[in-house]
Amino acid sequence: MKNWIKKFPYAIIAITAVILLTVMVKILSAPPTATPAGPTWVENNAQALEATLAVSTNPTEEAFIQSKLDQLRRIQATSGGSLQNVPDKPADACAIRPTEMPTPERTPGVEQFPAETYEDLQGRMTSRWQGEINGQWVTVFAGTQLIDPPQPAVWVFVENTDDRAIYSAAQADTTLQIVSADGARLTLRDTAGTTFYFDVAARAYLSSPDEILPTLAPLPTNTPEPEICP
Amino acid sequence: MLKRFPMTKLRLLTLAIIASLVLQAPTYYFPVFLKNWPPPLFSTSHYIQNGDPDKMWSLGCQLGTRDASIAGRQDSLVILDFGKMWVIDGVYGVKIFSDPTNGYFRQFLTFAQIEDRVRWYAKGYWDCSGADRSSHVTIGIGTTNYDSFNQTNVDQNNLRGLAVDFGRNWAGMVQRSNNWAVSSGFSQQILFTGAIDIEWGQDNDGVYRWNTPYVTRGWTDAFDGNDGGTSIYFNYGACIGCPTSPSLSWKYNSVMPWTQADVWYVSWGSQPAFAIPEIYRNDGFLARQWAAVSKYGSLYLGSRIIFTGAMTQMQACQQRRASDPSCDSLDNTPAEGWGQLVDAVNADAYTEQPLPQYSTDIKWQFK
Repeated sequence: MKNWIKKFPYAIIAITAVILLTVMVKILSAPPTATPAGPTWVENNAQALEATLAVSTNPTEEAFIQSKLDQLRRIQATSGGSLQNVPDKPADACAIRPTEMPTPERTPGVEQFPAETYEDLQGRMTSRWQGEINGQWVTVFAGTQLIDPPQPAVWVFVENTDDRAIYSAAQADTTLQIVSADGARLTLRDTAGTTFYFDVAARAYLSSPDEILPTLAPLPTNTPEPEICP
Repeated sequence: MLKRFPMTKLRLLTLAIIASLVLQAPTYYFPVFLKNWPPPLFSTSHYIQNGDPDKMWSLGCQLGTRDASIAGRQDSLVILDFGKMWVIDGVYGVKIFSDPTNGYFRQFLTFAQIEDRVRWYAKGYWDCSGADRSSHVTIGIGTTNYDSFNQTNVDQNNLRGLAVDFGRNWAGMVQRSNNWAVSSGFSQQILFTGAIDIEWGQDNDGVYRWNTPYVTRGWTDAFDGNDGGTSIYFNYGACIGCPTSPSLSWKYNSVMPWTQADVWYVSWGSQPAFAIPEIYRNDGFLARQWAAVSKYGSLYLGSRIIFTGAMTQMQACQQRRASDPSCDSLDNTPAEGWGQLVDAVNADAYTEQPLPQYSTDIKWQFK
């Protein structure tokens, strides 16, 4: 071994260098492959499927993969189909943005509706109150909080702030519904017909309709996200 | 001399073999220790809370502006989650998520309106990507298998019939949207697909509001039967309660009899189905569940799942962490979610696959 190395040291070095050089060239010259039409995932998925197809020995699998592959190739063909009529891009995109829809008119007061699941609020709502408190627009829902066990509850959201909370009424039966409002003092009824009072400004259930609780200080409004078209 | 000569030939032969292997080997773009790096640039998906055209255009414009500001060709997948399928007085549509800018009112959008709104998103992307004509966005028009379509008759056959109607219409909507993209000249940068968040767990109050495989497969089969062979959908759901290894005996429960075979079918087995699963959990468990579904497919159904990407909810958690305690353990970053999926599927020869192309992170349209 040593004799062999001694005899051909430069050959070993040269061959090793060639191999390393080849590897480096392979790494550094990795191609940018020709950009296929449409999303690259379609091409990459198609290549992955073709690779699987090439080694598959199961006719069922081959047929399945071939059908997937065909679908992707059809999508590619479709995506590449409109080179002839590509429109110009606008110089000022904001100038052609669609007109903002008018803000819906907001009616303060109570609204009752058939119970509906609000999965994003984790509640099944029966009614809503909206109104202004200390210059801030407030929305209140009544219904059932979808927790284990379900709880009759009231949701309070102060627009454009982080002020949002759920107020459970453990003593109520099944669900709550807003039946009327006196300013920001809500009268609610549960499934058994029992009446409850909730002061939105104080964020608390009242022990009697005459109870007076201090109004909570408002939270600061959120910083608006920058407009894409100021 | 006679002894050394064969040795020399052997060495040279060995070196020649090594050299030829190197030359014939697949091209590696990165050293092996960097094989999972970098994760793809993530896109932002949205829970749609206000489908007004100007709002949708702005969302598309945000992504177009971003892509135009980054050198090179960007390729994104976004899911526009339009909420649950809903029928009002015989009119089919969706009930989108509650809008904090409008008293948490939930808009009902008909199919025609959804179709119009996703075009505005695409138009916003096109307009705002400016001189960048090579970047691309795949727009998944999303819904969910949650709730009973606003029906009081929750018989499984009734629900399945509605799911079939919706699946057929959803495929038609995707096809028409892509035809519009082609005829408008946008299709070099825009592709529409369907998308559905398929799940099945109980809500926190113990009630089952997600749909069974019988109903859900009505949607996927109808999509398949009406996609014209040119439309696909992504399942961006979670594999609720699934084991982390393939199991022929596993079933979620008798009310929601989902099996790994069902999950595989709606995520990959159905011809137009592709998967970009929710990989939210910080410990990687969800990724291992999906890898197990893929292995199940590989072992018993003829094909592993080639995952298109991973979905996370980091931004949604940043918006609503205070009101969603589950965010403490379900707020993977996009890179973490994607990396967990890569690690899970590549830990097993039955499921290994090329790197998933996409990473998308969902947020609320409004905080």
